[in-house]
Amino acid sequence: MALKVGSPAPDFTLPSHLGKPVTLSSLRGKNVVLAFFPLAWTPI
Amino acid sequence: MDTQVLGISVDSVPCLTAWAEDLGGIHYPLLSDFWPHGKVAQEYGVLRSEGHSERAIFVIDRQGIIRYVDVHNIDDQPSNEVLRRAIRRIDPTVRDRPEATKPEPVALPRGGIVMYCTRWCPDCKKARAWLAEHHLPYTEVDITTTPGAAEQVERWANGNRTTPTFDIDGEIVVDFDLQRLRQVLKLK
Repeated sequence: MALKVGSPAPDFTLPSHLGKPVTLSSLRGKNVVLAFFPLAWTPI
Repeated sequence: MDTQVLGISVDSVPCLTAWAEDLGGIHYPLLSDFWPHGKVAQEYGVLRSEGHSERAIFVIDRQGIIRYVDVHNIDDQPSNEVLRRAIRRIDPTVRDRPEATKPEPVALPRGGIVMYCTRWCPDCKKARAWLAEHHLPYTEVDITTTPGAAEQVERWANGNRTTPTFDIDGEIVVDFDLQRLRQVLKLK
């Protein structure tokens, strides 16, 4: 089951294709759209 | 908009890099949830038993709280407009930006062999090799960059963006269907 509206977003640090790792909690103060997509070569 | 978009999948970084390049560059980060495999997808409850994630959108507000969740039909792309509405609802201070206007469809080439394709699809590569081998001249239409081309293919291919699809002097051949191609082109 997907997390529900109102839950705190679990923090993570992941490598990115732009070279620098991204940490979710470092983006506090911004709205974040986190878009999960199944696999590359499929539309995001 | 004061909003950061993050794409995330279980693909490896080299795979995401190759894909982003193929799409002509993606300016927001694509995150690799590759190892431990799908850990973040699992924490958000969107890891499927096949080992990849759902197509899902979470909007997280400035305090780190999830304010919008959309688990989408895996074959559909969520629309940007729906997302913008969701973001504005939770944060009215974000600036409004008009949706980029869709480019007008251009006149698609006709006559001879016209192949609707993408740069990367494996069957398109096979089709190019086959056409070259038979010394057949053709025109390529990249459906990812030509306005109106993908919609045209959808009309021919029962709503699917099948590539390659051929328009050979008005005869449509969906997919790299050698038997049909030989027939339409009157090859032995």
